[in-house]
Amino acid sequence: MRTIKYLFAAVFILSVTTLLAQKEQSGAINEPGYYDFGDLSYLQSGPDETEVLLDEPILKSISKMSNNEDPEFEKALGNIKLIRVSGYGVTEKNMKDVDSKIEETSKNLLNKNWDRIVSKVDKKGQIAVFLKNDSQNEICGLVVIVKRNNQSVNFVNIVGKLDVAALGKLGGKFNIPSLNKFKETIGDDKPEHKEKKDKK
Amino acid sequence: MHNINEKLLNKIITTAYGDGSIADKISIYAKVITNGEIRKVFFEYRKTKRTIHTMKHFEMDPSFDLKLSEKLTKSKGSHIPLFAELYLLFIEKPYVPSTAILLITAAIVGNLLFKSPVQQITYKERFTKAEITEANAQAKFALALVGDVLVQTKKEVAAEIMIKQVAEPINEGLIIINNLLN
Amino acid sequence: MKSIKFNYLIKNYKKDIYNFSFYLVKNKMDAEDITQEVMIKIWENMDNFKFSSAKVWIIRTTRNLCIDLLRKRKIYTNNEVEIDEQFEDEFFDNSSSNNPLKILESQSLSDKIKLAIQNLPENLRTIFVLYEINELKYKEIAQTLDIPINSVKVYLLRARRMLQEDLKNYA
Repeated sequence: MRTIKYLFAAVFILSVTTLLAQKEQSGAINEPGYYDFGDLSYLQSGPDETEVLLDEPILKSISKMSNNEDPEFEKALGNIKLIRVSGYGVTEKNMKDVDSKIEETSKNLLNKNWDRIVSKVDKKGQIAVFLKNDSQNEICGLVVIVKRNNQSVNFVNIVGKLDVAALGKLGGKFNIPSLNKFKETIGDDKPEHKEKKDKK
Repeated sequence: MHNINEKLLNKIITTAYGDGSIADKISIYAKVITNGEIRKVFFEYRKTKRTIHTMKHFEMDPSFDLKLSEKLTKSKGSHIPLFAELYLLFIEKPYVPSTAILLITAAIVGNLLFKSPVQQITYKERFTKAEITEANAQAKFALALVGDVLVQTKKEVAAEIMIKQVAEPINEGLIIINNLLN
Repeated sequence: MKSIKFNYLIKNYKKDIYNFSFYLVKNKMDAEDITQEVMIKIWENMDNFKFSSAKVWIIRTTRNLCIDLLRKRKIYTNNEVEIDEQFEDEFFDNSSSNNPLKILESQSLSDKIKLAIQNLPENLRTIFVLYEINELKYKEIAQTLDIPINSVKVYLLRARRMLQEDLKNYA
């Protein structure tokens, strides 16, 4: 009897696992909002490196764990399927490579019908934001590139249906060391900087 | 092939494959229009290139994932993934060759009933508290990084989002109405 | 975090590794073995793995394993023709069956191209598959194979020409 129970349990668990696995198959990399930045390792010029990669299962686990403690964060997480950040220190040594990677990425994104919604270049650095809309005209992907000369560059891709307003509310909200480090690099940007806007 | 020298042939190939410079493309397209021999060569390469980019390549055996799980489990020093844990828990018990058959049948039936186009495996759906805590911090960092950028550039973003989410659908609607009226 | 990274890498690269190794070793079973071996290496190195350099690392490892295997084969069989025939048999078995109609269908241009690709010399085949099928950029191929970008371009052009010439033989 016990063996039969084990068997049923095994069949049930395996079926559920298989179904979950199947569900995962149509995961973020097949989504229109996914963008592969390609090999970025050559941009590394020192120990400063940030790597974030969070896919749907772990994002769901975060949502469950947060237990409505932070509704804004949960709202921003919403239907996100993937978060990827690759960040590097920017020095004189890799500045050229960083610039050409940003240019190449921007061109590729535009070729793949992403919309450039922000392109801001000033003496201190560069910010570019790209959006991808799905067939229902809803945002399904976001690419953000932030470069601060002689400090850092971050390539970010967020995949899934995005609540841009909720994301905006998170700006400057979390007091975590890596974020502080980031904010040191871009946080002193003031509106008076020369802005250049490119529309596709 | 008499009129096509090495240099020209190279340009034809790179243009047909879509890699040529703009100058090369313009000069080759002009020649394609006017010269039958060049046109023939160009379209031969173009056809090959298009076929390569649309053809299906080799498909893996459906049992690949299971075999990989087994190998990963046996591989020295590796942490056992959940899928392999389950596999080991039941398959490696002495009393159950029939269990193995049942499990695999169940997986196959499950797969057939809920078939999805690509065959892949999730190695872990369960995370430790430490993993979730770390992931939580990373998610906050990433979203706040994006949030900061959006706040800094909110004028442009707001305007563009308005255009994307409001103006474009309205325009599309107007176009449809115009088409209906005409 | 290890399993999240691993999941992501497998989803992203499993098919690329398999296709690349199939074109190189021309044999389904060996291609599967190599794909598994690469995955195990990824798992074992997961703690030090960087996504940003993953593609180059994975393709380089795959290529090294394929080359090792081809070398071993040369020692044991020293018979390239036999291996190519084996590939052809497996390839047609894979895509058709014994149905004559399907065999006819399988003689399409894409099948001819697959065979023509496997006829390319190893160095040209590697670059051709990496660029045209795995969609690596010149820079990534140069990094993977440790050769200058210009060499990549020259080899790619040679491969395209040779492939086109070879296709005429299947016409």
